[in-house]
Amino acid sequence: MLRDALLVAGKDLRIERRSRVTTNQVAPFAVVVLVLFAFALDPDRGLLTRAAAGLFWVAVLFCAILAVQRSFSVESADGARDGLRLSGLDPAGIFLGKAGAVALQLVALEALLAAGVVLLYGTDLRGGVVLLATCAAATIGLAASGTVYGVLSAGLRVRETLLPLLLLPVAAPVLLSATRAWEVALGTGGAGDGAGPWLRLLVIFAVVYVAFGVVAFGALLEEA
Amino acid sequence: MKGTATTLTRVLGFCALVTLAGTVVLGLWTTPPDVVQGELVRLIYIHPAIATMGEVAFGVTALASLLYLWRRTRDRRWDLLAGVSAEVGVVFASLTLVTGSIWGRPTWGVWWTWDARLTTTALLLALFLGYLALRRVPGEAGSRATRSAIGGLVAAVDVPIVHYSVNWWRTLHQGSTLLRRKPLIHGVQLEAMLLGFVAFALIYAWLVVHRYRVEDLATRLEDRGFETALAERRAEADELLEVVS
Amino acid sequence: MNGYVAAGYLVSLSTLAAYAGWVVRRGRQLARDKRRAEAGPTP
Repeated sequence: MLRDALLVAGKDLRIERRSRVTTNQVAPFAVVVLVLFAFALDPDRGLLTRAAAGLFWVAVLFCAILAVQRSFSVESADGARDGLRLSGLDPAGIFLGKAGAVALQLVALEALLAAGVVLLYGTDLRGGVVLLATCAAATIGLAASGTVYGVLSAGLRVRETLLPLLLLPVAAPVLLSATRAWEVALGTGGAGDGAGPWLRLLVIFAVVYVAFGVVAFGALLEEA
Repeated sequence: MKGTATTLTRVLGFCALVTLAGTVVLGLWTTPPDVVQGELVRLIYIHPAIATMGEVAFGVTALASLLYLWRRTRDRRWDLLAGVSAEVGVVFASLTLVTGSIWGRPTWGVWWTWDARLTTTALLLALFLGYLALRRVPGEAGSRATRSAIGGLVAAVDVPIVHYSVNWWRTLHQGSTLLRRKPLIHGVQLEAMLLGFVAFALIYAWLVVHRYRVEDLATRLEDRGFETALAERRAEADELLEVVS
Repeated sequence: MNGYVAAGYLVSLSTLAAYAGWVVRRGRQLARDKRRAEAGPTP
């Protein structure tokens, strides 16, 4: 299963490296979103710095949608889905591979966005361990839930509009928890119970959707 | 058969109407205004009942999706039930938000507040609107049902996570009025509220049964139409073949 | 009667009534279609 996962992830990442969609389109999009937030919230009043955690995660969420959509649009051409289905690879492995590739791209985008938040919003990235742990758990959760919904809507003609409608409400707890955890780490939020419960929730989300994908992906790939 | 009504649904509908009328009479006229909430307490006789039935509806969707996915109980009836219950649930959840909003405006001074239960309900509604959108995508019946069932489960799995995250985030809503050791309300108020629960449960059941029959009829007619069209095309082809030979 | 209370009851009941009415009408229409389909093609 893991070997299959590595195979699929390697294939997806190789496609990304050659097509450069993530670097040439999604990454600039992420930066544009950050700039747009600065237009929407007056930079002079310190709003941006205080809201940086939330804005960062909203931008990540948007990027996740694009990454997932991209991950399944490469399968739609030339009947690649059928190839994948008939390849004899373990469906759970395919799921882990696709989710892993999406997660890796998200990590790269998060690094870029974090740099953007520091440079553009003047945020001081304190509490590194919590920030990194939040990123890890949230990224896995987003990639897993995104991949489940990605394959669910992959073969459909309305997938561009359907995927955000399906994914955004499901991913809302990730946005909420990750933002709160970052606020605790950055010291921009109100007094709370610390980042612990939020991190726990993110881990639970990630575990639930990875497990769901591993179990259900076979049925989805066959029937969808 | 004139429509989708049968004796069962007529009895069900009659009971629903009677209990609903009872709730309205008790709620609007018989019960006294509350010491704290004044006249607004009257919304308590319908709002929690509607909210509960919305949650029950989504629970039924999740359960039916699970039963459809489990091979030993796989049956298109579960798929139909899941979709129908979600649709009725969306109606109830929307009404929950509306009545809650109407209660919140004079009580809290705002139509909307980022309270835990409000936010959870809104997210629940968004989740199941997505589910209904997914169901509406045309496709081969079997694969559409599997797709919908998995989509429904993905959404249902999210509900407890949403619940906890939002609860930690905000809590302002007044606690449950009924499910305490000592209920906060007594006598005729309690009766009105319980009758409201019965009424909306019956309404839910009536709506689901009717909507289920409608959906069943619609899919059957669609299949039949498809078969008729197929038979016609075959007949045309045969005629052509005869002409050629 | 309090306006908010009246509005709350009115919106809830009328929405449910409208939805129920739609379901019943759709059921009747489909039942008619089904009868026609069963009667076979009209000559």
